[in-house]
Amino acid sequence: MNTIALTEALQERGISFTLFSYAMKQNNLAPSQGWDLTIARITSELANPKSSAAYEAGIKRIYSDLMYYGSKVVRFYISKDAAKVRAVLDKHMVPDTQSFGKSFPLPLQGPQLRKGSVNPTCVFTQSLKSGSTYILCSRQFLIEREKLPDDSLEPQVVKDYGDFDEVIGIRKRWIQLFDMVLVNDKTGAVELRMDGYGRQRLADIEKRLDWLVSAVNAQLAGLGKAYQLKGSINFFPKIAELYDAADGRISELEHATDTAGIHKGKTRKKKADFREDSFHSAAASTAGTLHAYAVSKCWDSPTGVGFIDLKLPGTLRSMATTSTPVVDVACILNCASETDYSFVLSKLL
Amino acid sequence: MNAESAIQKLAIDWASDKDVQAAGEALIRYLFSERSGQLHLSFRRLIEISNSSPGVTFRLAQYLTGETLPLLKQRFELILDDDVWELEDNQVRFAAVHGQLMHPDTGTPIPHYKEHVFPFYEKGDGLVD
Repeated sequence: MNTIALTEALQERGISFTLFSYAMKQNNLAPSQGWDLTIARITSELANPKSSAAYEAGIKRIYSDLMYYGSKVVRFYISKDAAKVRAVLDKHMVPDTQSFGKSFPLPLQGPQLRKGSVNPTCVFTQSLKSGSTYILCSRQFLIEREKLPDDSLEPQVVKDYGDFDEVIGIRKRWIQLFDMVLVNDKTGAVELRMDGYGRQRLADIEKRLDWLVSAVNAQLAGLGKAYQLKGSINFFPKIAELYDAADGRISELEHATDTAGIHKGKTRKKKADFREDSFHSAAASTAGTLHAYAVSKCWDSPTGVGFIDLKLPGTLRSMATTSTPVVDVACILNCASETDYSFVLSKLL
Repeated sequence: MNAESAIQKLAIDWASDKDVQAAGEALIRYLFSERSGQLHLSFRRLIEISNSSPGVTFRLAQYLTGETLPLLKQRFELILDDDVWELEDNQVRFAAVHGQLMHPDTGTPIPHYKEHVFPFYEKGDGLVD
């Protein structure tokens, strides 16, 4: 597979450049400043017999890692019998070869992408002794807003409509996302790992996630009700646990008080811990219970390169219910490798 | 090092500039009182804490970020709307040499980047236990 095409596909997929540069450093490759200069650097290293093999293998590994890990929205179910679930999914999840499957692992481009399904379609399956992974691609609509230079309007437009303080361009386009269903025989866990964080609204990702759960349940219908994916792991109790655990750094917190207050706070940098913010710590030490409903926690990568984040995106609404509050998705962010992702999972589950 | 020894050092080095001495004493006392926490101070905050003019504060900040009395470290942050990124030294160097700063997420040049980059000060080695 063409190494430059893989790199350009990562840019096209909206992978954060900072995350890509962490992945390069974790693979002992040298990033430059920004995509263009980094692609020029990779091109030059590929032409060098001493470094070409390392860059070719490294970028291929990075492409795969950022597809499997990267920044994902996840939901977990515990199955009654994961092996049975897997057997059914193996039968139903037949990789497509006509649409997304034609270019996989690269995304489709232009007119071809416009013909792709908007519902997640299986493009790849991987069956190992411990479990199976099913990769499903879909075409999603994206609206991007970008501030344009002040002089980007034609004089005639200014004459007709007057001056503007800011000129904003709106770009509507289709993108391809790579979602996954993972079944683990050993733990019984069924993980739905959704792509698109940072590009789509969380609510839109959750809609696609709900659709995927329904699609999987339709495939499992023959096994009976006991095998349906329902009652996912509730991460709400983890919010207080993460806040209380001394490791890592709290980077965002949303909480309510018994005196009608709603507080949202965050640090301005990944190296800082919100718990050490003087205003927060003074208030927290006297106000008693926090009643936190959303939290983001950050750790240094165990590889020694980069920062990894875990976000539990609860809402005030979840606190207002009479039943137990539920947060059924978690955002595992900025993972440049399996090592990073496994580390965050160990904090979540 | 404690606040008193730092103030003594400042008094010797700035014996000929009473304004920097007075501003420095106020700032050093504040820095040592807050040394157990994490510090993130804008230049504006240094002016307020030292109760001095921008010119005096500038001279003082240069001194406190130097090697003689390293109580502060100067860093830069990129602020775009509500998003903030702390810039690495190599990003700042690249911007200074090439006149371009790359967006940390999109990896493309930020138009008029100088309007969005701001200095801040954090604890220097002299304040770290």
